[in-house]
Amino acid sequence: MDAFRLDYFFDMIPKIVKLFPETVKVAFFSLLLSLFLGLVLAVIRQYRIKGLYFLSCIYVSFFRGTPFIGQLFLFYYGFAQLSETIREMSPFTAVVIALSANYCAFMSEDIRAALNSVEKGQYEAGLSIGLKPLAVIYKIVLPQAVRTAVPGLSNNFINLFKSTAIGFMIGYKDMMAIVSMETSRTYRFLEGYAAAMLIYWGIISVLSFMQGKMERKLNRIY
Amino acid sequence: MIKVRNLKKSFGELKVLDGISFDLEEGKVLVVIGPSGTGKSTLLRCMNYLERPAEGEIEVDHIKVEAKTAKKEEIYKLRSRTAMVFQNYNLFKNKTALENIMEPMTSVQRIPKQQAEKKALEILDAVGLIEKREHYPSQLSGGQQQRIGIGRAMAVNPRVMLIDEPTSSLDPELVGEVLALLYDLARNHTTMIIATHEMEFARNIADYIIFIEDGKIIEEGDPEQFFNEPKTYRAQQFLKKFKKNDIG
Repeated sequence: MDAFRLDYFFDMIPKIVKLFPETVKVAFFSLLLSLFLGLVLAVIRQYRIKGLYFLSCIYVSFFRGTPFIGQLFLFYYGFAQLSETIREMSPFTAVVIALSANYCAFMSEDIRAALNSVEKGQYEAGLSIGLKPLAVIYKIVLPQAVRTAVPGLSNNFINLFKSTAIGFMIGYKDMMAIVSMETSRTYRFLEGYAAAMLIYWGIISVLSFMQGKMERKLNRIY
Repeated sequence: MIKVRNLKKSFGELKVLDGISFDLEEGKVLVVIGPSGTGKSTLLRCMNYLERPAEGEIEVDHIKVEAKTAKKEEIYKLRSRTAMVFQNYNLFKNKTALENIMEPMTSVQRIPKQQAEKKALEILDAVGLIEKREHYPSQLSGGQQQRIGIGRAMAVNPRVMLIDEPTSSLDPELVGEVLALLYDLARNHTTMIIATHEMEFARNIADYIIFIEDGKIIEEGDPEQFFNEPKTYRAQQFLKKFKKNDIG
């Protein structure tokens, strides 16, 4: 075995980049779904909605308290024993569901903290002019909470993006999967994984840069 | 006619409102005075159900809401006929002065945007802040924020304005502009219930005074009589303290 082979390294880069859209696809749909679920969870927890509050606490506790890969396997392999739908589910759908189910728990905490940061007086003022509670949340509280929520949510999105790499363990063909396949053929693990890490690092750096820009923009508005 | 009957509210053991009743004719100004923490704010907050009373009845514009049986729809109706001016202004921070005033019209009364904007500009003019229409609350002084707060309350087009210590958070030099605006409203026969610690203002603006302590009305009457010859010992003591403070 010789040391680092540049040709293998450069050979890997386009192969990995070619699957970039697959990784983005998972990250994008998981982000949308987890944001939506996170918002629902946050509103339930913040306003202690009867009947759902207790369930939401258990939900968040479970997903924060167990490893993601375990959740993914429990869902895709474990629950497959019980459900025809899961047995026939594509790895893509399964990864999106597992990622969303996991990250919405974390995101709900960021959203809740942001809802908390909006003074109670804003909510009361909304009610006092005759708005209904949900309208106050939607028109007054959420727009103000966004500014506080963005840093935490962006960090979670960055983590989510990295977590998509676990998808290859249930057979989803993304950037990580191609490295795994190629390196087990060529045995050039060092070059393959080095190339993959650099690409992930580059993507995350771009995302971090955009996060900073967005935060500055949000702080300028009012 | 606004009617309040036997309003009661407790926070734990503490009885904050202990059977408050009064009537207020349309176009009149009722001023609520009394020591701090004796339920003035709670009374106003119960009147639009920001705080839910334990007992009692509130009637505004023929909407009767009985505490024990109050339904959501009744509460929304009550709120659409009352408006509140807060001690801390509570302007919507994510909206400009103009948008703050438009909000009740566009979102609650469903007035088309153009029409609402026209009306909001009239209100801005009335509160003397037309040139600040594009400013966000954080760009306004306390006095200006409170005037926008009053403007927003006007936009609700309420049967009664609930005004909770409108100048308590203000620097002394900003008090005057807010009081002047409230005098304007009174001259235009806006029905108001005002909680305040400004005795001079109370005396001049009130058609009727109620003095509350420990959640009960201790004394009530017209302002001249109340301030010149208070009947109860507690009102006398309370007013004496204010006179001393004025001199000091």
